[in-house]
Amino acid sequence: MRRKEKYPGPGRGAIGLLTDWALLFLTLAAETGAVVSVYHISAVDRGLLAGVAAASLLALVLNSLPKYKLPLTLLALGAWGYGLWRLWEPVNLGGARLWCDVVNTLANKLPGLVKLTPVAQLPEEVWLQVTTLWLLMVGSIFALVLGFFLCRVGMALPVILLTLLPILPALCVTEAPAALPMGLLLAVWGTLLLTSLVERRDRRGAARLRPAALGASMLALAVLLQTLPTQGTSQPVWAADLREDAIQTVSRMDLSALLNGWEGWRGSGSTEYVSLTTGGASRTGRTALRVHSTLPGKYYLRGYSADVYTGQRWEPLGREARRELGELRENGVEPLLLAAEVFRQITGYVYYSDGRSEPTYNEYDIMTVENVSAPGGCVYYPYTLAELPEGASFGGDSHLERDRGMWSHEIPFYGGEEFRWGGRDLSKREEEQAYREFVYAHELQVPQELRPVLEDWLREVTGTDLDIGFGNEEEFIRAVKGYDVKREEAEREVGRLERQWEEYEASPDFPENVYRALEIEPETLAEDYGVVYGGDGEISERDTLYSAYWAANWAPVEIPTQEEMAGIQVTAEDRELYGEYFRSNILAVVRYGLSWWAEYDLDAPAVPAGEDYVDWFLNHSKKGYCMHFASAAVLLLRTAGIPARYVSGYVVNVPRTGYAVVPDSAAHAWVEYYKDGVGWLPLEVTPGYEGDGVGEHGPQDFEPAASQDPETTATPEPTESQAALGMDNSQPPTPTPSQGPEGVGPGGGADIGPGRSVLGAAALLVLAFLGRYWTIRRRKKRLGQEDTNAAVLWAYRYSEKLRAWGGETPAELTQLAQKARFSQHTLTRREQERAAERLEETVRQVREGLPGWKRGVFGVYWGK
Amino acid sequence: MKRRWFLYALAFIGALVFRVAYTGWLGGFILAGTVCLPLLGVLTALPGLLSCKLALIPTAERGQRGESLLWRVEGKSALGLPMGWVGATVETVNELTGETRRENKRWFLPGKGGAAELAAPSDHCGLLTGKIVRAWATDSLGLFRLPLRRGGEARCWVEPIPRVGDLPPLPEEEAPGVRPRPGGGPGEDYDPREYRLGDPLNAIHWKLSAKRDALVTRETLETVRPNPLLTFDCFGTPGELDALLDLLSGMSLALLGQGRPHAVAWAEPVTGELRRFEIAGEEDRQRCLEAILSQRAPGVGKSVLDGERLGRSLHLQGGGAG
Repeated sequence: MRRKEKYPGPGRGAIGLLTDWALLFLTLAAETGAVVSVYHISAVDRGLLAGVAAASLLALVLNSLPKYKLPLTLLALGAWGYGLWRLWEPVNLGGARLWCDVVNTLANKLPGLVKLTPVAQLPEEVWLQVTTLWLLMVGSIFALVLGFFLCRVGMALPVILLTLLPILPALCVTEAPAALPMGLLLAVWGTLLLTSLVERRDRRGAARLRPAALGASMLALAVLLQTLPTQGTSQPVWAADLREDAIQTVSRMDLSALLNGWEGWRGSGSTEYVSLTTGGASRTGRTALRVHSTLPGKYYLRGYSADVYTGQRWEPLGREARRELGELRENGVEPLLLAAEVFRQITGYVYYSDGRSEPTYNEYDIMTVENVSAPGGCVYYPYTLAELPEGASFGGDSHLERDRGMWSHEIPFYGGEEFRWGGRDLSKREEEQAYREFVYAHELQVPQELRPVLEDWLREVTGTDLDIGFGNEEEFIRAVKGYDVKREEAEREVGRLERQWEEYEASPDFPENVYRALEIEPETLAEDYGVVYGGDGEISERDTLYSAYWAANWAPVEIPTQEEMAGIQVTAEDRELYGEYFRSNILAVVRYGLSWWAEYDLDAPAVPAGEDYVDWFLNHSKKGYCMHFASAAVLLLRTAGIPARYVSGYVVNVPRTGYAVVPDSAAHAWVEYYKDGVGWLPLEVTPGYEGDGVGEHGPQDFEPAASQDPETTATPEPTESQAALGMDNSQPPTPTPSQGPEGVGPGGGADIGPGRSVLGAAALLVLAFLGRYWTIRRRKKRLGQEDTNAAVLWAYRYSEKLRAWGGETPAELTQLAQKARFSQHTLTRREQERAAERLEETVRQVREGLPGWKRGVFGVYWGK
Repeated sequence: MKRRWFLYALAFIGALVFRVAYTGWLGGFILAGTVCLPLLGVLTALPGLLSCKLALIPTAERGQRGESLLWRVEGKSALGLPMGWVGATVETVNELTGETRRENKRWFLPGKGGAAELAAPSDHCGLLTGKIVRAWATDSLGLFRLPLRRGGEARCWVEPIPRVGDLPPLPEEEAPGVRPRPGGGPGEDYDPREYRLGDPLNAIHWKLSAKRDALVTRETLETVRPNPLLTFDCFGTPGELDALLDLLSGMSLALLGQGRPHAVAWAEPVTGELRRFEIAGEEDRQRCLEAILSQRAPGVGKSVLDGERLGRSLHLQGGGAG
């Protein structure tokens, strides 16, 4: 009996053979070119081309022969094996070189991979030859497989997958092959797809169609090559926006519950999105950064800053805000201004500045920061950048974007001790003004429901610390104005006494009747002013008067009562006069207030679900670490009208050796606030992080655990805070900038609207529906197939899979399956139907036994 | 086609995702290529489309009612290019009953050409006129249906099933006529008449001639049976018409089987115009049938009995002869 051949062979005439060879040759050539270009492999081009032509011809012949395909193929394979045996050493060398090229290409994009260099020291020409040889040896086998699918089977998908596979790793790390070979490969794919409809049913006809399809594909390729960019990065705005949205969406997913079991999934550091609900920072001790610095000392290496607080996380600004920022930069706002470069040092106190000058430094230092495993796509850099480091770009005003493949950056920065003020007047620059407006519009946002909580906290702390409680600018102005009223009253009293003293001195009765003239009772003098009586028990009038005068002069000014303050009107002029004054004082209030209000605890438990992070920290737990302190400080400053943002990164103390390894446990969070005319200033608010100024050598090498010691909480003296409140008018208040909009609720900065969420949900629903439809269709097809035995066996296997969901295979179905498998008889249609019925029953039982959500998943997955 | 669209949608989504996720130039290139692919599919299919024409041919020119009658839709690209999946909608009109039916067919048309067969409605008698009202072929990717050129009409006769039975007594059989037999000759029946020159002498009735004193000739008579006339009313429901035509056809065949020419007459159902066919053989019968089958028979129309008198005839009705 003549055996029916599974693959009937070409049978497509001369045209078919010709088009097969052309397509095979093009595929092989394009594939070789793509591999060589994407992995930066050096090979002999002409040799490769000739080898590709020969291999494609051989593959065509072997796959197109009407007879003796198998023996001849075996013969060819034997010859190949013999060749490999004889040429093993150079082929092996070529493989090693090629492996090095592949790994090095991937290592450019993957930080964990180490670049390789071949051990053998060979001249470049020899390397070229052995690499070419390896490519040809592998390529010839590849050609045979490709020829099988292309010439004999005529299937597009295996060819596409086969040709995609070698370049896939490079594509995954965003390496792209050269445009021409990749374009040719795409043209081949297009040709195969265009003829795929007829290929299986009409080989001869498909052979006639292929030239037309190939021509059309090449034409399209030529047009695309002419019209589209073919190198570098190129992404339109819509794609970039979508990408960003996707990243944001993924970032918003709280996968901590799923990933808690895997300790290594999360490294601490700086990320665009900061989840506040995932408990404490990771302290695996894994190296995050390696730092070399020409200047030892303590550094804050800044990563991302976050702007929008949602109650459970910090997020970057929304898309509209970022666009606005981009326009600002187009209009000339200096990136360095946006990047908080002004002060080189995290400060524990507030710089007082008139806002009209900037520090200038004499010389800069170099810090090399190598990212080993720190998260995020940012460059971790010290403050006071001297210039943009190579391999980095400004990512808006929130971070420095790390270029792809750049894992180490030499960062010039001003680290010297000496700097001087002077020079440029930033406050008059239009660009700075525009940026300031942007900052005030976006960096004052506080969830509406949290604002009263924060104001209460400010009121309580200032009330305890400064005797006058104020929760916002208006209350502060009332307090100051009320205090001024009291002080004026006291000054008037002193003036009155002074005038009376002068009158008394000039009086002929002097020193008689002094206290009478002053209308002060001797007892009052004694009690209120501590006037000393004379030695004879009589009050020395001279002493008494003198004491009264000076006592009045030095008496503490009374604190105005709430009633008195409530009656004080706050005008726009007052705001202009006292606003900056208020803000400069509130910085100290927040920093020191937090340090004695809450306890530093690195093991503070996570905030309960549904609770606001900052509210819980301030009013319930009163324990926390840097994330708690920084989050609370940012919101408190914003409540007080000071633009502020949350910053994360690492703290490192570079020892004298100039080299430091930064573990992920050195991750830290702090605050940046905006000072008009100056820019963003860093502010440390976490207790225990003070000391070791930049440029100074620490008393010991950097020990993150030591520096994070909660016991070293610094509590400032109340008098210092009072001094900060400073009734000293020696510094003229600067004009208050316009107030930004009121804060928005949680998620106010989110730019993924409900429409997109609905769209996404709809897409998921459609996918679920399609999946369900496909599953049902497949099951019906399988259960109703002509081969009854196969249908029953399929039903049995299907039922067995349901065990994972708690299903039990019915005994009857098992029996039927055994009969189908082992009996020589063919099962009847009735038996096939019975098997299907038993399966349906099992599926139904499993479904009914599942809880609601699982039932939905089961329905989609099993089409039930 | 749905499957192809689904696969293309998947490919497009994949390209879109790649475009979004992959920031390099290749993302744009692949997306543009994916977008261009349907256009290329149409372009590649155009030569085949322009060089192909679908024609409708009946597998048999005529057949009896209830028999399997098929339309054959043939096509071939003059360039020998495969057309992929093609489809045709064939509209068949029964000219007698006015019934219209459409059939769709989709098949793969290889480069060497091919055909598909569609059932022609043969449940009622009549002339079936078929034409391809819609013809399409997919593009090379199988995503779009593009129009194909179509051939002209085709015809196929659905004839009645002759209901063969005993002939009912025909009117002329009950009262047959006589007429002089041309050429005379022996016969039992005769009529005397005056002698005319040329009459054979043995035809002279001598006895009567003697009695009348004039030559009287015996003119041999023969029984004359005039052609039977079958009439019917050409209107009614398709079922009634089928039964009527079965009867008519059966009777006509039976008469022909007896070697008896006959006539068939009916009135055109709308105008009342009389139509009469003399049937002497099979060809005449076919002609008559084609005339009947190709005219439109409404539900109600004018009866042949309402028109001019046709003399004695056998009027056929769906249930039998009247």
